[in-house]
Amino acid sequence: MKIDVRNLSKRFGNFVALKNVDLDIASGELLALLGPSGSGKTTLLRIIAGLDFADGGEVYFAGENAANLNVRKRHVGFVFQHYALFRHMTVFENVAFGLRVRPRRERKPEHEIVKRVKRLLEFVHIEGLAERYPDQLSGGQRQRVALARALAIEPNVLLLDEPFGALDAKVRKSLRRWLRDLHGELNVTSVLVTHDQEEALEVADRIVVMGNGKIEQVGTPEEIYNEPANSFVFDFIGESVKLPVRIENGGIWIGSRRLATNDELPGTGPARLFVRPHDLTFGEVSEAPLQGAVRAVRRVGALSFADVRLDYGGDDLLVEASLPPETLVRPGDLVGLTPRRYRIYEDGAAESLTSAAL
Amino acid sequence: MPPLSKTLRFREPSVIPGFGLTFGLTVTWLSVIVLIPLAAMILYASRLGFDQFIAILTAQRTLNALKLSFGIAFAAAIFNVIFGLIVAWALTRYEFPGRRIADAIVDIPFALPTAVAGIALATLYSPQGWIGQFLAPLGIQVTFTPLGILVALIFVGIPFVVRTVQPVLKDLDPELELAAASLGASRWQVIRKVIAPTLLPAILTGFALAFARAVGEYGSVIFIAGNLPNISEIAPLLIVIRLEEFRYADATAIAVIMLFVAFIMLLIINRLQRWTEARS
Repeated sequence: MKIDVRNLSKRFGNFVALKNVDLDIASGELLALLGPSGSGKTTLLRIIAGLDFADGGEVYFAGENAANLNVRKRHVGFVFQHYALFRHMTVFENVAFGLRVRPRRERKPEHEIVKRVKRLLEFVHIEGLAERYPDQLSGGQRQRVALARALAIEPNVLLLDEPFGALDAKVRKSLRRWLRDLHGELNVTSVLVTHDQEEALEVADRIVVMGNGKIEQVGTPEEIYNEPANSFVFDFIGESVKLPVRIENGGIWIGSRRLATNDELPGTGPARLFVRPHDLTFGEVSEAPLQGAVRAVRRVGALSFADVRLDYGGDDLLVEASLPPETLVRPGDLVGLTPRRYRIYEDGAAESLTSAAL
Repeated sequence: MPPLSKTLRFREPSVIPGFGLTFGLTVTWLSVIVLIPLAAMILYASRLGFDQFIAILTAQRTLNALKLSFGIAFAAAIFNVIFGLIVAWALTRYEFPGRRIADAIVDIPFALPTAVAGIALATLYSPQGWIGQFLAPLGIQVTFTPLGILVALIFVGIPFVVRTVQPVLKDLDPELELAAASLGASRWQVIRKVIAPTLLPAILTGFALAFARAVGEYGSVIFIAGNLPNISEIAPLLIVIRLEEFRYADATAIAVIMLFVAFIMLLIINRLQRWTEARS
């Protein structure tokens, strides 16, 4: 089902949680709301679900204003961050809950409820746990129960609030892949809230990056990663290195060395250069625009990183650059660094002045 | 590694000492304070012949006093469960001015000498009293009737229900209610299927405590009840009356039967509680 969010606003006291948010969610897609805590992503999800009220703006379900539909009538499958399972009910009864509370004339006969719950438990691979109580399950199993329970009512839309937040890294990874497959099978419109960019980049069809109650960028994972719309997104998504630069005479200056010339650059003034660590290449000290001493070399899994202390203009700056596999550097070595792909943002402005790939 | 058992057994060395000491003190304490006096009472009552014992118990006045004591205590406990639940709900779920003060007021019946409470209630509910004057025209007489006993027993019992339900209610995540609502449950279904089963063990505990307290209550009742034999005379008072008449055997006989009935009722409630806890 298609969901349109129009001009949504919400405050909690003095805190502005959402500022005039507009968003179109296409039918059948898996959308991730990604942002740091306090960015308004969970508030947006709860308003879509009907668990919270907006101060202004509307939510449309398949073109119909949902203002008059309370949470009971919206038919959303909501998966809570801490699962919110009913502790006094078995797994089976938890999943059957949504079917049993239907008004009598809409309620299915008992044998059909049993059949449907069994099928759902098989679907989420916990058919053996039907008679257990939530306290007897692991975190990952509880998450599966919560999902089966939400799916039991055949929801128009599946809303997941930090579904893997409370799980350890390994379980999280396998559940992520599983959710992706599951969405492929069900094709139900799904919205996932997460602060974990890796999760969003891996799972979602489209990502909505939120910050301070506003939508910063909407796009596919590739677009978000490769073409961040502004400095907030660049900073939030992936690793980034920020360097103060100067724009002067149509050139970008790092200390006393010129990085590039660009006639389109307006005026003169301080700016910031954003670059991904893996877009910094090691080169000759005399030629590279950045120089510094290697402080430490670290291996993280298959990748190596070097902490380089840049020395320019009296300011010391520690950057982390990824090392190509063959490169050998030792702590204390002087190295040169060249940003291959970068973006320049004027100080104080969010919009990119220029981007370049050398 | 075997799971650490929650109960320690005798002669089982433990890293954390203190079991022998606490167990010894528990047994001694319970014996001196509770078990020996009760045993003495039963011993004293057993000196009565069986026929005599039955005769005292089946005397009309005794039966009426027992019926009144247990019946009204039961009614008051039920009343307290309903209203105590509402009070606990309001105190835990909502933030309102004066909430802390209201929370503190709940404990007053614990601390106030019950005789003071009895006198205050009797004054308020007498036909000339602040509340009684409005009830009198309706033909409702509170003081010197069983209704007065009910009022006094509700007063002494309410904190037991509030204080046992409150912590459980505090732990009840409001998200459970939201989850149930998002699955299509009506408010009534949420209360019946989600909230009530979680609270039931605590409610039963509160009920048992309020009931036990009400059965044993003496001080507040005698000031408001009027103490008319066969009408508004409670069993504890009858015991005192028998003592004052130097009929010690009669007094102990009534005491023993009160003890017995109270024990049976508490045992039943305890079982019920265990059963509800096992289900959740």
